[in-house]
Amino acid sequence: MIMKKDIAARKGNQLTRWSCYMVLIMGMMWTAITPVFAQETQPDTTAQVETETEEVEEEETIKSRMSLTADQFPDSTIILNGLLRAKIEASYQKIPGRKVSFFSVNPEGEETQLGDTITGPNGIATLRLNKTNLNMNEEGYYSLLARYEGDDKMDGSESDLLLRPAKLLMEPIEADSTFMLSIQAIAESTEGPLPIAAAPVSVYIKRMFSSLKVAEGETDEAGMVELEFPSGLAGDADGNLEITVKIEETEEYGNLTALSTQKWGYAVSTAPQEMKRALWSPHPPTWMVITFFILMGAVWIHFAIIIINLFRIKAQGPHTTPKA
Amino acid sequence: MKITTSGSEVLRTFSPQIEHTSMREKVWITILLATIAFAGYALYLQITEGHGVTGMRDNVVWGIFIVNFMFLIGLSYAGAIISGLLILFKVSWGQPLIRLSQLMTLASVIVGPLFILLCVGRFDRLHYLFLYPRLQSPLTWDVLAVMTFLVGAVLFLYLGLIRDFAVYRDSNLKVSKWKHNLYRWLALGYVGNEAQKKTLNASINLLAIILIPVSIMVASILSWIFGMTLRPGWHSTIFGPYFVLGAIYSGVGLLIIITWYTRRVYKLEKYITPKHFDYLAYMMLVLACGYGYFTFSEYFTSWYGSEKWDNELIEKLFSPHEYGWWTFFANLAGVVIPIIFAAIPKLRKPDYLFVVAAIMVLAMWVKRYLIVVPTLETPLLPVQDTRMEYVHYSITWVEWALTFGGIALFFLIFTLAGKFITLIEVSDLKLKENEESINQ
Repeated sequence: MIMKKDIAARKGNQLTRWSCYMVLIMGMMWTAITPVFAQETQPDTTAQVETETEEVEEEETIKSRMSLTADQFPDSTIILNGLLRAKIEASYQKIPGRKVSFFSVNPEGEETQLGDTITGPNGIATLRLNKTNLNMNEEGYYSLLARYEGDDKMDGSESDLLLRPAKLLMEPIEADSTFMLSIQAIAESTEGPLPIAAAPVSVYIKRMFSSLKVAEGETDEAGMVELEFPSGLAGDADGNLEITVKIEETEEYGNLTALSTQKWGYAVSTAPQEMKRALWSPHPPTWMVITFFILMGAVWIHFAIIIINLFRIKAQGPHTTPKA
Repeated sequence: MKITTSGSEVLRTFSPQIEHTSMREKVWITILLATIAFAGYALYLQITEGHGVTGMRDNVVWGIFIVNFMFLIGLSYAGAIISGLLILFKVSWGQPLIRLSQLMTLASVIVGPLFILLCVGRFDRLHYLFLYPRLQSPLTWDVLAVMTFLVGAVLFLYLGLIRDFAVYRDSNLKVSKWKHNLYRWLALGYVGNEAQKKTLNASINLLAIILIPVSIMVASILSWIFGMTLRPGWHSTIFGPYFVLGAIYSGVGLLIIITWYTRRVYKLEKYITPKHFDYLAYMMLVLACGYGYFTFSEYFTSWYGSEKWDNELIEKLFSPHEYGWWTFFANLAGVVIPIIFAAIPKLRKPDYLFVVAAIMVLAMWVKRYLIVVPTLETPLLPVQDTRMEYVHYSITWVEWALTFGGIALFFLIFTLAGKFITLIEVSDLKLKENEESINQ
């Protein structure tokens, strides 16, 4: 028989047990929560670390290097090329995707912005302009400047260039199946046109990936040179060749360039041609196709016969399958 | 369905295996599944993080995946050739080995090509192989040949099983209903009447005849993937027969291992006798001599030719600081030891042969490694500024995990096959003289 006293005592024991459980659970929760509070009350050292890192990064900004060159064309066009490089891991690498600004500088040092462009994958920012938009100084030079402003990772850099206006003229001559190029290099000055003597001239034709040098010579005192153009070169579908004549990397004039397209090559069609059947062609030799299909066919015909035989085995059996 | 006395005894031996799954088997299957699951994790890593998790780089673009493929696919061709010859020439002693050879063929041809898929960097372009095949490429031939062979292997095993399925159907095997129904469906209503016997035997013989040349062709195609490439150690006219012989040789080795294991586990000493091991040892002896001859011829002509790149490869293969010890092991354990043990009658014991075959099979795997990796480490064009880890190949844990996953899958196929069919043919097993068929 269970007495009331016993029931009360049992209830008391249960209460005590539940109280213990509650205390234990709360203790565990407190233990779990405490580190969170502890973390919150800790001084914020992260910001300090970040500041230090930024300082280190500022100290370690990369030095950039700008190189300005110019190409002059007979139609009074000048192309300015600003090559941006940076010293990374002990070698200069071309930096793409950066803004380069170009300026014209007058004798007083005042800068007039000509425009700005972004460097391409080759690290070169290119600006095309007309000579008529530029002012010459008293000595007959254009004073030009290319500048990269820099950013938080890379220092800025600039490069200036004194360029004397000049042009290269080219006259293609065709006589008795011989091709000649009559070339004349002329500098512009306040006193009028002056011939550029003893300048090395190179003749290139455009190929698929780069230019191929086909002739070279040197200008005489009159700034003229006649060069024989080779025959038997492959042209486009109409036999056209894109000819470029250049006086390259002079201190005074930069690069002087003249372009012309002449029908002096033999026609090469770029249209895809059907290749004859061969080991290296997209189309296999006929004997290979025949052999392949005979061999594969022979095997698969056997497989087919065997599969048909499986159906025959089923048909040859009794209509009712005996059971175990 | 009638069955011989021997067949009836073998069925009784295998019955517990088919009817129940013991705790030991459950543990074994769990281990295999766990290994495969771990390989699955490695594959997940390889797919998500790219082939950088493997040891394959710019120079050595083929690693142990291709080695495993060559090895396993070779075993499958060997199984088909051995079982095909035993059937065609009606070799009576070979009857208990036919099913094992066929199972070896099927398991290898299922697992082997999986390793080729592991080599493929872009799974999303896999279907291009079929959409834009280049018929001049040995790789295209190999893809089509392996698929054709897989179909042939499945058919070959199934044809050999039809009579047995009829026996299982008509027997008193205490199997679940679905299993019994499956036996009945797969038996194709076979009752062993004259017409059915004639059609089935004709089909088996026809397939045996076609599968032997197919196996030889497919093994040759595999060799041509290497042989038709202008690389030192690969560009060789004897690669076709060398691969065929090597495949059959390693297949005989694996057959000795499987036969020994099956005999021991299922206590089949009455049906698989030392005589079987003797015959397998004779085959191993002949093939080891042939394989040794090819190997010697291959190295000897390259060495005498003294071409720059061939010499560099030979130097690499025989230098103790590079692959010298591997080459030594591959030739000693792969050729010399099997010849000694198979040739001397006192050493030609099942247990010894099992150990020798196991070492020989391992040596044959190493030999394939020596065919693939040192050549790739000897590029014809010197590559400038390349990193040393790109030149030398080292196997990563991911590759080992996937390799062991493949091995586990091979054993799993065998184990599961043992739960469904008898590993020895029961329907027409005649091991005793003048044995007659009895009614089951």
